[in-house]
Amino acid sequence: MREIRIRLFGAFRKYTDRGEICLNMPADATVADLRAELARKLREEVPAFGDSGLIDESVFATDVGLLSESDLLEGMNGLAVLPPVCGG
Amino acid sequence: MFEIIFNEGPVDVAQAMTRVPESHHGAQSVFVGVVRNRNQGRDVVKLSYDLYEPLARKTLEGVCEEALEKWGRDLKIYVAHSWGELKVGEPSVVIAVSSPHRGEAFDSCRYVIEELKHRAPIWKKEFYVDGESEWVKGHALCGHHHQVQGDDSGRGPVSADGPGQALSEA
Repeated sequence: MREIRIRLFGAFRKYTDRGEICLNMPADATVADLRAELARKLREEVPAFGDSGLIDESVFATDVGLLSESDLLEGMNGLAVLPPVCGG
Repeated sequence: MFEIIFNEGPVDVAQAMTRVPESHHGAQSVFVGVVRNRNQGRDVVKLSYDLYEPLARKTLEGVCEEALEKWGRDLKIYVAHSWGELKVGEPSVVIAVSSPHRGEAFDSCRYVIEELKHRAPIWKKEFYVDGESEWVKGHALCGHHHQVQGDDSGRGPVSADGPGQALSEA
C-alpha cells in the first residue's frame, strides 16, 4: 500500500477545507480503484456527502493530462480529481 | 504564436489588445467574457474561479496549437483567464487573435473560447444575493481525452485534446 495525494477542485472543495485528500492504495491499483476509494473516503470523512454523481462525472488527471480508468497508479503521486468544467 | 496568462482578479483587456498586433496583419478579433448579474433565475453578486494551473496551461497550449494548425501558423493568440473573486461586470476571460484577414481572426477566436469552456480545468462558484453560493455545473471531461501520441501502452496520462463542439452561448 502507498499513500497517494489527490488535489481537489471545484465542487469537491465544499466537502473539505483542505485542497487535497490522501488515499492509501495497493501497488497494482488503477484509476478506477482510486475512484471507488475516493467515494468511500469522502463518505467516511464527510457524512453529509451524498453526491456520488460528482465523482462519477469527474476525471482524474496529472499536471500534464487526463487519466483513463484502466491506467495504473504505479509511479504516480500528485494527482487531481476534476469535476465537470465551466471556465470562461 | 500564442501567450497564455492566468491572473488573480479581472483580466486586463487592454493588455490583450497590445499583445497581438502584427504590422502585416489586417484583422484582430477579441472576445471578452464578463461576470453577469443573473444566471438560471438567480441574482448573482460575484463569482469565484478555481483553476488547475499546470493542466489548464497545457490544455490551452494545445487548443492554441490546434488553432494555428487550422487557421495558419501566422496567427497570434492571447488568452487570459482569471482566478479568485470577481464582481458583476468584471472581465474573467479575454481571447485576442490577430491574423492577416478577418475570417481566420473571427473563426479562431471563437474556436479558442469554445474549447476553453469545454476542456480547460477551470471552475466557477456563484454567490447570490440571498447569501447562498453554488458551484456551476459544467462540461464533463470524460469524453475529451485520448491517447497521447506515441504512447499506446494504456499507461500514463493522455492529453486533454479533441475537436470539441461549438456552443450556443446562453
